[in-house]
Amino acid sequence: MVFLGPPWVLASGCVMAALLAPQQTYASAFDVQGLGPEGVAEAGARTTSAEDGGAAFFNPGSLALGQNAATLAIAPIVSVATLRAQDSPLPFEDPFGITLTASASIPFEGPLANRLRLGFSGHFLPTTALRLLVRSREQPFYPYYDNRTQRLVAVPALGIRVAKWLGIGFGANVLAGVQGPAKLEKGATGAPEPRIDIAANTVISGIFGIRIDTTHRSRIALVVRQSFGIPLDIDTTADMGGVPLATNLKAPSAMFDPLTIVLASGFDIGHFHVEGDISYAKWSDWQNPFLTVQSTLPGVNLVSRSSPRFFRDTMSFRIGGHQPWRTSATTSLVLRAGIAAEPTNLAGALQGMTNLVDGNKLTLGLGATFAKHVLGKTVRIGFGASGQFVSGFTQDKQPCQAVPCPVTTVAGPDPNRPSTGITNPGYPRLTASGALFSFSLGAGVDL
Amino acid sequence: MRRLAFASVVSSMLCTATIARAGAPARFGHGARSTALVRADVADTDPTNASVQNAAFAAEPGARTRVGYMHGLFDLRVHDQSANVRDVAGIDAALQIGIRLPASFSAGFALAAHLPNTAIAHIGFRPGTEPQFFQYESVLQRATFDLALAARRGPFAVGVGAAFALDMGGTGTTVSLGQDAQGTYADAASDIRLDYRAAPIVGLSLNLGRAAFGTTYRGALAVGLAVDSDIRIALAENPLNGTTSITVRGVSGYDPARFALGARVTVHPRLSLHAAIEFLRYSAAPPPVANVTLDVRLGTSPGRTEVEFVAPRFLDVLIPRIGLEWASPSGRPGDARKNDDRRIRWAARAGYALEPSPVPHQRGFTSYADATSHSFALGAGLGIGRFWGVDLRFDIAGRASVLAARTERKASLALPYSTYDVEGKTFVLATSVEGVFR
Repeated sequence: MVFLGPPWVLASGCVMAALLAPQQTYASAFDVQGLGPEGVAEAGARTTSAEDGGAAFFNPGSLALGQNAATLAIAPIVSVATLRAQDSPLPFEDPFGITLTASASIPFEGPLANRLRLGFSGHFLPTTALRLLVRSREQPFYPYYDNRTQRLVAVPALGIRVAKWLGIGFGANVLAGVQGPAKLEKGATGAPEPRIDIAANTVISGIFGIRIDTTHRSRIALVVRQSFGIPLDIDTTADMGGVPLATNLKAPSAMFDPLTIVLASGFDIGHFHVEGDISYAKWSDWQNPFLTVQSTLPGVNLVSRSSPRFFRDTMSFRIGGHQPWRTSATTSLVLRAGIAAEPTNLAGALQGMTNLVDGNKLTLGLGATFAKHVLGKTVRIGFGASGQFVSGFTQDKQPCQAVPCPVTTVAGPDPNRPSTGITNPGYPRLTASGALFSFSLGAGVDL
Repeated sequence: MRRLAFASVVSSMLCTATIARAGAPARFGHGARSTALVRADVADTDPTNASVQNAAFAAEPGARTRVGYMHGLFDLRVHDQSANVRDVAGIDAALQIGIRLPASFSAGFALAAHLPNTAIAHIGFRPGTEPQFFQYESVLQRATFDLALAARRGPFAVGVGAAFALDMGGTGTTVSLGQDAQGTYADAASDIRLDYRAAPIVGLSLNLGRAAFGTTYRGALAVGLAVDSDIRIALAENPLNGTTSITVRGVSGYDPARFALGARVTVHPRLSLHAAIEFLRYSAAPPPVANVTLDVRLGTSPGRTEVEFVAPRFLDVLIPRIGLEWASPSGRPGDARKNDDRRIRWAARAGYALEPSPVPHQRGFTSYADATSHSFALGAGLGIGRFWGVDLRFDIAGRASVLAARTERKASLALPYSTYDVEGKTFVLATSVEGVFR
């Protein structure tokens, strides 16, 4: 449909999306591994083309313009990583998950008929809802991949069809943070007894999207995903034989995903659809991936060392496309491909005792979907595979020459000879490289 | 089919609402009608309430969704001092979808979620010797999620489902307090897991017209907590250098296995009598306190390094419930309507339940607090007809419970809290709106 509406409609939609997007979502596993066979194959470039449940994540505005009464799909996904640092393989935690997507029109009548659509994108781990790993400061690892596939992702969304050519929508990324005190105190029995009051507080961040069908064959879209982070703040106190130990552990944004703004354009050439996305990710909001510790012993107050700003904002590019073929009166085949380029989110600052690694990423995806009409419904089976290749990382560590040692240096245990006896695993040179391969096989039905 | 699809999407959303357990809905009811009938509606519950009250009702044909809000105020006292038990409040959301099948069969499913206002879950342990109302604390402060599937043929229906919870565990947290040429530092690494846990739900119903019968079973659920902490201290000239390992193990918010039998009798075309008796197997409950083990290798050592409380030996309880529902001449608000039926419908409800305490007389170090409670409830419902293709109804309910005063006197005055009085009142207000799609 051609965009014929008054400009204020567009303007107000964009302003609303901007105003409603304060700071902080993303949905980790969907960004790192991909969402469904189609998302994996097209390298995530589906902001204008996804109209099924996957649109809850890609663009709730596209969800609103979906034509099917309802869709349902399930797709297991598994990743294999060859990431290495210091010539040792790095683990890729929880590489297997199950993606569930669904969408449907709310069966209202009257003025709301066919106006509202619900969508859902979910990523479920087989045995656990969440695994939060916070690593020690000296351990080498990729913060881009760490803790991003280790939680249940649940993105429900509502799409509103304002006009045939205009859809807006919003979704929510929901999970919980952990806060509260835990005390170990001497009870009436003389034995240590715990007093624990830990709350898993609800954490919600939003996804806002708009899609405009400028012509029959072209679309533009804007999506804003607030950043997502799980706060962790636990106070522990213990009495050890009359000696009080007090420790506060804090991570303001564990399992962080950055504020992301996606501007996308898609168009059809015959039956071939191609889409290009530009994404801005505000990684600079992330202070660091570590726990901040403050511990008090009698006469001693210990705190974690300050860290330099590790992260920078990134601008990434994605191009994806698909070509359908009708193979018989009731069957069709869709071939898909995609490519994406994303620069490293590390700012390149000289690191002291920390050993964070990352590199520029190039992603290539391929896949296919086979569809068959059965009893008036369309059954789909799809496969997608992608490879994300990470460029090499190298940083030379600077040994401390004299106290006081700058935070950008590493030091040994002897203040008189700080450059000797250094045991930091990243010293003298921190190196890393690798790739991530993801595979998704799924089935779905259009009702 | 569109309803089914719509339901699948909404159910996906509700599924992800959280982490879950029986919690507040299993105690106060899910939705205002069940609250007003003090959960005596085992034999005639709303289809949207099937996964909480009786899974068999999930087979009712049609598509329904309900959203509501409940708030519980607690005034619980020990020795005339407030026990500082948090209020419980949150959103109740539910969905049910059923379809007709050939040969007089129908089948469907239902979902119900309770989302607390402030937190998805509270994991709380008081010191084992301190008086605590364990039935009103962590067990009520959690999001819950129940799922049921059912099939019906003629008057007979059967349903099965599950209630879900999460355990908190993992390898724990390691804190290092050390020193190098740069000075002192504090560092930590952590590995926390939230693993799934589920309990079965089973329900049966038999509807003979003027009389209906139902029975349900719900397995026990609780949140397991396993937290390990290692603290390593290596500071120059510090007498406390060494390692400390703290292990905390416990089960928070235990909800016992429940078995209920219920009946509904229509004593007049406008008056229904609901009755149920519920068996709660508290005797299998683990201690509602956490056990601690210390391994201290510092410059000092505590006198005792381990505490483990024995099983609390709670008592199984039987809870009788009775409810009355007086409906308008045009029927109850939730009953099916013809397309041209736009009449207002209403219903008035009342209920009473006697809930004995599972806590036996306290004789040792523990001081669990509870007492038999009398619960009274009133409520009303209003059906306003169809708007935009949706039949709308509104319900409201209030429930007050009074704990009978109870005094505990232990054998020895040397025991902690050797004498204490328990009393209290609780108030619950619930509202809900339900839509039935054409």
